[in-house]
Amino acid sequence: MRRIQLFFTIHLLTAVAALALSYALGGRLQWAFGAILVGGLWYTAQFRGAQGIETILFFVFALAAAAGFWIGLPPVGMLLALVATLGAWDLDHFSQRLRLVERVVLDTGLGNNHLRRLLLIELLGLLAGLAGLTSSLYLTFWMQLLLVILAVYGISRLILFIKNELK
Amino acid sequence: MAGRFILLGSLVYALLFVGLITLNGGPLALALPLIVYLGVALLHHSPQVQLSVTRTLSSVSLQQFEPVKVLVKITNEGADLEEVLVEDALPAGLERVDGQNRVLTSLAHGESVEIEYSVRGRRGSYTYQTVQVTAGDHLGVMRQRVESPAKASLIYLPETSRLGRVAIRPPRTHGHSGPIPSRRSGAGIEFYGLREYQLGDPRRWINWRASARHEQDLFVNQFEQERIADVGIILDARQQSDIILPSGESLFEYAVQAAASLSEAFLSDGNRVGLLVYGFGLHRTFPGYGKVQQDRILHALGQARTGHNFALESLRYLPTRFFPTGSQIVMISSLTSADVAAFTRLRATGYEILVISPDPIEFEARYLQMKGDPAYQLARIERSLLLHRLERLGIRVLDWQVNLPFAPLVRARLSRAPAVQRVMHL
Repeated sequence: MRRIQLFFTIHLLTAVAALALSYALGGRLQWAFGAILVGGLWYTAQFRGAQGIETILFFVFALAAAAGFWIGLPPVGMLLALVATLGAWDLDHFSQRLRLVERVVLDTGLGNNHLRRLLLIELLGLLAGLAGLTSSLYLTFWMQLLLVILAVYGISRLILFIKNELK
Repeated sequence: MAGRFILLGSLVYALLFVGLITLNGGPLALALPLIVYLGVALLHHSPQVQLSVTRTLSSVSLQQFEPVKVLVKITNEGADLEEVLVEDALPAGLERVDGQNRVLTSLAHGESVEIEYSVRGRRGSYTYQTVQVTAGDHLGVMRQRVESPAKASLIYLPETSRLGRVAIRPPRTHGHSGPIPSRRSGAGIEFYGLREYQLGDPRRWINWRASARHEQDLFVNQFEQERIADVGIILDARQQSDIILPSGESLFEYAVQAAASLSEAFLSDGNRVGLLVYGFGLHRTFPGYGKVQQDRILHALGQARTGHNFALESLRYLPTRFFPTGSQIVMISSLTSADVAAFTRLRATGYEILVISPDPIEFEARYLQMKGDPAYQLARIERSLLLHRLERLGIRVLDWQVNLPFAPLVRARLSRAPAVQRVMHL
């Protein structure tokens, strides 16, 4: 449990540092301060065992990272922030699952395997993201149209799926 | 499927959509780590969960609040499960004393995990149905919830108190010797009557005083045979007869305790005892003898609960044929004024009736602290009149204020047989 807490803290610090530094370097100190504030809020919420708030904060961080791209902040910083946020969100959720039960059988490698898998995903995600940032792809108009149609279709399917799940 | 999958999927879609609409590669690149996360989760999607679950209880029949150990063993008979949450939900009314009823672990094929905890509860019947198992990948994105059957029942029996002998005098008794005066002359201890001397009568039976009053005749004492009898205990489980205080204390619980104690007393005297729980339905325990019957009755009382049934709102539909005519009926009820008619009918049918009535007015007044209140006085008068009406029907009534212990009250009021009109054959 302590190890999970430590990894969560490292992930959250990395995410906050990447976002705050990127925004500060881009001359947006208020936004950088905001990122630190949200990070502090997340840490407090996690420390107090609050449930549900981590998802909202994860979305806030993801939106902040996407907005950073939009306003031309360093893309690597945004990518790093998003990957670290993803890790923090996952670990927060995992620690909530651990906290919910009185007895956790850690001898079976439950915690270590989780951390190992998460680190692997982060590494792969970071590499994929970097590859995505460095490579460029030219799309013709028809390709773009096809992708937009696919995206719209996908969203409608997703909405239908969510509706069915909530029934 | 977990909400996290939907959440991440939505975020990925949103980033891809924004990236495509704005023709900006940034959001697309940001979506990639999330896609990797979802991809790995899908890759390790937990397979079909195949578990065998066994449940063992240290005891299935207990006294109130006695802790019972529950042991649940779950064995994975399918593929490896990365993260398994096993929850053994407690039946409503049971309280966990120690141990854990939820465990989070990994379960490889063939591995087992055990949950051990203790519970305790109030009088009643409790049934475990299933064990909930939630299996998922390490990330907890794809989760599958199954309920594995693991049935077990336990029953908390009502408390009983030793009452000693409860004297009854039903009109009809059985052929076997017992403690109940049978209203027939024969071998016995209690004086029954006098009759003329017949050849062969022992000399010590001659009643010299009575004989001295007559010139030519001799009279002998007759003794009353002592036999066993049929006793039918009726427990009133109608909702309107029960009072539940905000603290959760219920008048019905006292009635159940009284029924349990009385059945024990009657059975230990050798009588044939049956039980009828009249309320939500008609739950019968057919008449029988001995310890086995005592167990049956205690089990039935352990499961007894109040309920409302329009058909059984009044005692009019009491199935009197369940008890042989002339037997002793012991009715345990807080009584309502509408019940008098049913008692009249029972008496007319030839039953001897004893009513044990836990006092609902004192029970409630004690909680409400309204003893000097005019409403309380009126309620008391009303109840006194009701009990008086029953007594006029020839029914023995024991008005029990439940704050007082039951056993001493029974010893004081019911240890002597009721007076009956004795016939003197001269």
